[in-house]
Amino acid sequence: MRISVPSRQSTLDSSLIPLINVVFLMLAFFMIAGQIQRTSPVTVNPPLSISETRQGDFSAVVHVSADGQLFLDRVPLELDQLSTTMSDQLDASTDRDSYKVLLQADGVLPADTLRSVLKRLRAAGLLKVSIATRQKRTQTE
Amino acid sequence: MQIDSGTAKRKRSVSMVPLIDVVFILLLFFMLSTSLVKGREVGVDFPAVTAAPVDVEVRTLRLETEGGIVTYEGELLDTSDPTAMNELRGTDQNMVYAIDTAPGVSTQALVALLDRMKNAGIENVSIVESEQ
Repeated sequence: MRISVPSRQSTLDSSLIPLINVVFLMLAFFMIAGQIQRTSPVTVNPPLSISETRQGDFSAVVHVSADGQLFLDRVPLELDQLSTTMSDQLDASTDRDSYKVLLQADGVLPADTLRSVLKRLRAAGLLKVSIATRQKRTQTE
Repeated sequence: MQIDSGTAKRKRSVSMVPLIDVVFILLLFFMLSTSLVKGREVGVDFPAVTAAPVDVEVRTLRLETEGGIVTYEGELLDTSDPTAMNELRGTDQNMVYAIDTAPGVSTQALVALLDRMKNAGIENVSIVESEQ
């Protein structure tokens, strides 16, 4: 007669169940709360702002690093090329009015450089750009 | 007599190990590829986009220092003073404001000034075009 005895395997199983539960919960959290983003071509720390407007969908993204390196849709380019490249992209788009550009500029970037970039974007025919920011935590005193 | 020794249980435990592996890999993927920080944005209108300049008064503020010192028509403007900001805002809803920056001022200081103007209820703010 064989009597069932709790084997080592089954005790391992029962001790794994809470772990699996936690792992499933963490998986669900990251799947729901997180947003999958493409990695930035360069490290950019956007300026802090009180703005509550969430970033929407953009037709193009311009990255400007703290030392002034410029990327349009993750392709490095010179400042002088920006206007013509953006203009070409704008011409190729089907709907010019809804063409939205996000400017991911570093907070320590000199404002003069930012204005130069904005000037070239405007010269390309854009009507509006959005500057990416990070949410500033409001201090309660 | 033979009592069932729990073969069903053993089968289940065998199939669970790859499941845990896959779940761990999925967890790792989502932890590494997702960003929990939700980005925000500040919209910037370009000044005088219309070809024909309309009769709109443009008030140009100049951000002089990183610390947030602002001048308007050569006079110091306290942007933290609600009275001064109300006076600047005026009553004309179509007023357009432009921000000029002195050399050495960072993007962070510029965005902070945009925030202060937004707090004061000033809309239609643009950034003065660079000469470069």
